[in-house]
Amino acid sequence: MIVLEWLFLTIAPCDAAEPWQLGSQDAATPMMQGIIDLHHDIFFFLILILVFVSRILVRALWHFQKEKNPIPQRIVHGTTIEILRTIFPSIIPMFIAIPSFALLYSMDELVVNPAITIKAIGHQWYRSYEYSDYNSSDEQSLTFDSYTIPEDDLELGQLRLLEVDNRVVVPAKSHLRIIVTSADVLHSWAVPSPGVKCDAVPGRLNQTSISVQREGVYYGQCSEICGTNHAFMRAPGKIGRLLSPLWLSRTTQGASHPRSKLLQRAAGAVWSRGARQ
Amino acid sequence: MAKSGNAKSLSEHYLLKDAQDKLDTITSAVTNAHKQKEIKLETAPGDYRFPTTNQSRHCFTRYVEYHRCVAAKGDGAPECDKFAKYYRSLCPGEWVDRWNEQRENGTFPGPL
Repeated sequence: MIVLEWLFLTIAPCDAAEPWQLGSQDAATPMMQGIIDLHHDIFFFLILILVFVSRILVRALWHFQKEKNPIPQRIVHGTTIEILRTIFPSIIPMFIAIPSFALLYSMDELVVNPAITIKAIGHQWYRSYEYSDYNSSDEQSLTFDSYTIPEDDLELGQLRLLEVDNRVVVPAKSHLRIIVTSADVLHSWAVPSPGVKCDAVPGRLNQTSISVQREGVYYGQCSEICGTNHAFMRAPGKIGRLLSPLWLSRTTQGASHPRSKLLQRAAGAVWSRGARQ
Repeated sequence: MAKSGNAKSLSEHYLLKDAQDKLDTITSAVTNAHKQKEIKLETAPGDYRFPTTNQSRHCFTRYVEYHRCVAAKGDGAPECDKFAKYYRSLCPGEWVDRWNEQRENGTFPGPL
């Protein structure tokens, strides 16, 4: 067990963009895993087509030129090759479409019993979040604003244009319903690791659901041009901090903090609701 | 990111200290709410009338349902509580405030 922990738990998963990064960030939800797998599936066909087409192109350029072939052949018809080049290109998109649609519709699936609802409301240029599942009146909602930390105020180890002052804290391993809307212009709530991107439209509530499988700090940015500070700052910061009571009890600082106690209680309530424990 | 994480303690890395005072007010508010009543964490369930991404009408319908329920069963009827819970979970506070105002002025557009 210790060996396993040493092997795997010391590897910090990639939950924020890295310099010169080529691939996706590490998946935190089954959906993101599905997206990454679909990408790899499609890449198989992509490479296959690339190699095949390049081979034909290079071969044609190599062989059929003036020096080697002064008199061109005049073939205008070939039944076999015409059938082949019609059938195969129509089968390949089918192999791409089937897993793609399966993933698309599974993302769209209605979650019958989400554990918690979080409202993410876009503003120019910050986000406010509302937790109102345990309100007993219209005014009691737990609401806070989340601003990107300006570059000058960053501490060592904080990520530029990604860190915010108030993070969103949600329980791990439970179904979250996220209601995304905007108070002014179009925004988009996007966090790559959980594989979620949802447009925020004023006057409309968009719902998206995620189920994060591991604890961690996840970073995201606004994904819809929403005005001056979108272009300059890139991130009206939306950061999910997803943790479990287990994680909280491991850190002394975290465990003694009143907010953490609240979260432990909240997370405990969420967990005991489902069949998880 | 991994390296800086290892050098610092977890709580330091996740900035628990800095976030403390910022959310203290919210925490105390919720703690007070908790003292008043045991928090039961549950939210509005998915509704097959609203299976789409767009949940605007879900929120609106729940709000209307609550007020129709109150109109029918009287103020503070326990069977209406769940509708209140549902619309509070789904609707942004700003929307609820606006609708409450409209109801007071008699300009609410829904079928109450």
